[in-house]
Amino acid sequence: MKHFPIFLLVLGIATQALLAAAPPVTNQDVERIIAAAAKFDEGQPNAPLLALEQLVNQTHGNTRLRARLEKQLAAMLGTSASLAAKQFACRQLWLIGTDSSVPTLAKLLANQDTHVAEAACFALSKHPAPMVDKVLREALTNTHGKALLAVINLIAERRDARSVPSLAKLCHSPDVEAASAATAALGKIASPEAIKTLETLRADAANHARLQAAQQLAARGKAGEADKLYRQLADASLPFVIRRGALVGRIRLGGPDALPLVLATLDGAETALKPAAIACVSSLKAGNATAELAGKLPRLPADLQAMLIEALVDRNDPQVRPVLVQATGHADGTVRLAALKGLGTVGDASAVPLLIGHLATDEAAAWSLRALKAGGADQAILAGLNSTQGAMRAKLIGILVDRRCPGLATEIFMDLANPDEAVAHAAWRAFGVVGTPADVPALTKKLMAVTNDGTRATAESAVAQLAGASPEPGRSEPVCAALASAHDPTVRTSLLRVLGRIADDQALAAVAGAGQTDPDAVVRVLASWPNARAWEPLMDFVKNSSNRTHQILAFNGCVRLLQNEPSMERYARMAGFAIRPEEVRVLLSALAEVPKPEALQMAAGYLENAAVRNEAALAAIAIAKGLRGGNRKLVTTTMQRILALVNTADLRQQAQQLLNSPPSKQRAPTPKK
Amino acid sequence: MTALILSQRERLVKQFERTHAGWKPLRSFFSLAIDIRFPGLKMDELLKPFSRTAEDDDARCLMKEPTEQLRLARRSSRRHFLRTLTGTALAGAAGPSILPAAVLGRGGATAPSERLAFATIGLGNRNLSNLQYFLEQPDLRCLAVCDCFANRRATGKKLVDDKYGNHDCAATRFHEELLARPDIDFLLIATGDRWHTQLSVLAARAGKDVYCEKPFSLTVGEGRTLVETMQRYGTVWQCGMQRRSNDAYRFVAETVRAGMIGRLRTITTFLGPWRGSRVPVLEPMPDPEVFDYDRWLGPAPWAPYAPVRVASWRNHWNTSAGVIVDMGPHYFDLAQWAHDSELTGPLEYEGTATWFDDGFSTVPKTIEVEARYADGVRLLVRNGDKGVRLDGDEGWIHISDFGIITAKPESILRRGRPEVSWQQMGGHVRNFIDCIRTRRPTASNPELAQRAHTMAHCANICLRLGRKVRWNPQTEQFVSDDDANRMLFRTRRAPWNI
Repeated sequence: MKHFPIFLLVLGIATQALLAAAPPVTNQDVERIIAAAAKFDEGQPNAPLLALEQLVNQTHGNTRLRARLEKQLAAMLGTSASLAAKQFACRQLWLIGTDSSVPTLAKLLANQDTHVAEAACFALSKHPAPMVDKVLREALTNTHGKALLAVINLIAERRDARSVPSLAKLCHSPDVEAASAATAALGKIASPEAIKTLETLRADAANHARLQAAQQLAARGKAGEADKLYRQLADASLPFVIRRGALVGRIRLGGPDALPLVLATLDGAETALKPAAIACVSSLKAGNATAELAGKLPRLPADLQAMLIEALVDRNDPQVRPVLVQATGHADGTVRLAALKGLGTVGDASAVPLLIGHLATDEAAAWSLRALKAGGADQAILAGLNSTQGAMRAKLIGILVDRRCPGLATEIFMDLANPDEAVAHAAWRAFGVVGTPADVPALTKKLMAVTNDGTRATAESAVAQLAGASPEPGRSEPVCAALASAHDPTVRTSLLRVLGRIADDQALAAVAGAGQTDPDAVVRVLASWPNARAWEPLMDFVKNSSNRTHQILAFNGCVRLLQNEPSMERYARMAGFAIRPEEVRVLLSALAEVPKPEALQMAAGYLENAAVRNEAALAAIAIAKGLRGGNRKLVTTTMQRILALVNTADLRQQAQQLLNSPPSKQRAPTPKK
Repeated sequence: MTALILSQRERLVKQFERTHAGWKPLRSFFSLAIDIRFPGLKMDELLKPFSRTAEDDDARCLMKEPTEQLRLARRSSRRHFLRTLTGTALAGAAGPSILPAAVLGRGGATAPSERLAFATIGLGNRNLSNLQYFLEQPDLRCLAVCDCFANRRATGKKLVDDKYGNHDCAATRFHEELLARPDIDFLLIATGDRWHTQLSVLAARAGKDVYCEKPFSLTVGEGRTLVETMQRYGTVWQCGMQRRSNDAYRFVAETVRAGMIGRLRTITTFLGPWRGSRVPVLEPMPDPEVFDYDRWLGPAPWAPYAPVRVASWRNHWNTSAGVIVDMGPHYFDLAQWAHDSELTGPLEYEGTATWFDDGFSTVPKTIEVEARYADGVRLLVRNGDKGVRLDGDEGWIHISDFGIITAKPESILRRGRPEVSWQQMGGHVRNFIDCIRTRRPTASNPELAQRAHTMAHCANICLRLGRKVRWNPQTEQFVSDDDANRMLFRTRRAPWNI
């Protein structure tokens, strides 16, 4: 009695689960759905079939219902249902078929309609019962044409060894396709009887079947029998593709004959087989394989040497290192390339000086220096760095950056001021990657000392990148401090550019504050500001500068900033300063991308100005298109004005099209941010 | 007005660069379009602000030593990487990257006797694009084209003949004719999905190497048969999963493998939307010379001719398997690559789908699948804008289908990122050709491709069965699930067999 509450709880949960689950499938459901599927034919909606497939899935785990379903499906196969319906029924039996539907499917194998017989094969294909094999063997004697082929192919897939006598007879059938299929089936079955039969056959299909049989035997662990077959198939009278398969298969068996076989192939006369043998080298298990094969290298032509070197490298055997070192001096570029690349894979730190020596001439050396994983490689490359200058030093710095070599920043700090431009450039680039925000003060000082314009650009990028990665606020503090102490105009300009790339509030204040002392640089930096926060200080130049160039730069910059963050209030303010046609055109080009009625009104206002009329019309048309049928009245008025004022045919045509286009019920989209 | 024009131009050029980065023919076409619209303005000047930098090139050197198990399968990928470095098209910015003949020691020229001859089967839109890249290779010669459609055969033949300036390219609807030609070294196969394995196997038997579009199989069993066949004949086979040879995708994989987003937790693949079809209207069989429908159907179960069936073959299980096998292998391969699990796969799949009710389609309309690897890493499969996002403990990285990479922390991108669209496949083609000469495994060799495709098939099976399935990657069987295991193999319509 004390368990009664638990019982109630369990009962409640079970009831809830039952209520929540899909309604159980009933026998009536099965009959109804099968009846509907039986009426299906091609050219009709396939809903009844989908319902049947769903039903099959729903019966998963319900043996009783599945049995009923299977019975109904089998019954449908005996009716006058369409081929399509029967095919679909067979597809369901493919999933759920048991012994009970096999007799029905067996009858279908001999059906006059080949497509029905094929559907029956489909249904039987993965049915595990031995009964199916028996049915298929019987079908070998009472099916013909494509149905027979389907049966043979299925027997082959099922690897039914008891069918070999029947298949052996079929190998001599006057039906060439059936004979060929039977032969192939024997290769897949690969029983002793099957192989014995194949040995008596002379057709090309028998060679392929024997090759497949050998592969099957090898997969079953019968290496000796596989080897015997492969040896037979290596006969020179057989087609190349068979001999190549036999060679590769025999090497991959991995026995004591594998290495001698590769060596013999390399010594042999048949050139076409040599790459295939080399491609198997990495699988050789013999301890002396590397040494033996390396001994063959000098006697091979260059292309095969390169292939063999790559194959030896794939063995990851340290014994190959001296071979590679020697081959780096080879006259042939392909061999050299393979050797240098190989050192990157299996080399150790001792290979570094050699690779550095090839750095100037062979790009593969750079790849290998990057790829070297051996202990001490970083130290060896750093040591090499100390003894190189110029372009090689720059290249090594790049390699060390890619290796993320610890301690690199310390090693190359002095290179930031290297008189060799390539080295300095590489060092600055390196700091951009391996540097940290903590390096910014020191790097800013170094930047102030840079005299080369090309290097300065890279240096500015590095400082800006690292400063940008430091936490706000204060990320631009070191650069602002440097700006405050700098007097050289070139240095100040450089620092202002860096601040323009960091672009936080402190940087903006510092740059704007330098407007009086460095107006040339400041207006350019502000005009390139990555966000619209620089708009107001830039607008100050438009309003107050007496320098016409600065005004134009600032005006264009303001337009650019507005394109990223459109504001009609700001456009309106700018319109007051757009006096000359060039300025109006710039303004119109930006307005054209603002799909707002206010923008359309503003653009339309310039239609009266003959100097910019066409541009105003173009902008108005673009805006009107962007409104996508919205603001119909305004668009109509504006287009009518364009038609009245503009003579350009293309613009008139576009305006007319907009007038003619039907109004949209869509709301005008909001402009992109 | 100049500013207005420049603004429009920049937008167009940016759009172009994003969507068609580096594809030379399109670049030329776009240049022409710009010239027409904006006479007097130079394409190179337009593209200058968007061209790649040295930093981008360096970014490709983020290498990680592969595991011993994978070295064999991946070695050709490394070789391709190296050769790209030595090639002229370093950043892949301008068309197919071609290994200079001088690097191969051929003195800068390709002797006719060293040229490989090929033929191609299937001349739909996809293969017309593929074919351009093959025709660009100086050491190849296309001898024949094959398709069930007469008009496609004519288009393909014209493309080849125009390239070579002659009328020598043969055109046929019988692939048997190509297989029988001893002068053809390899086949470029880009037919409907149902044909891919069949033709690959036939080609291998005929001693020909194969470049085969994805999806190369419609079942796990079919795929395994292909793998074994290629091993048996020592055939060089490359799957058309060209993102394997794409610098942007490589950057993503190697970034994750280098631990730059911390420990990998979740991989989300977005396969894009899928469209429905309509109820087929049956029509009389067309003249086989115009359209050989029986051959087009190939190994798929018989169904009477209806134009909808032909146009919407990707929407029916008989001829394809929907969005998951269409885009899945590309992204699943990247997932495996980044996760360092290229020779295995997830252990369980669970998901939900909605299905079309258009009267014809039998593949999912929308999908949500979650797969789980042995180490707990989750693989999510969704519709949405195509791309892959990989989330780790310390950050994430996302690549769009067009190769645009975003990441957190941003330091991942500090060295520059390669931005290469999926459409650029010159490197993948080159890798295949090099492997034909050396007989080494390709970048998308059968085993790697089989694993990526298996994930697609397993995901599909879990959706079709409407329940969770557990998978054993070693045996390539579902665990204790007879229904699911039966779906690993389908018979083929005679006489086709593999």
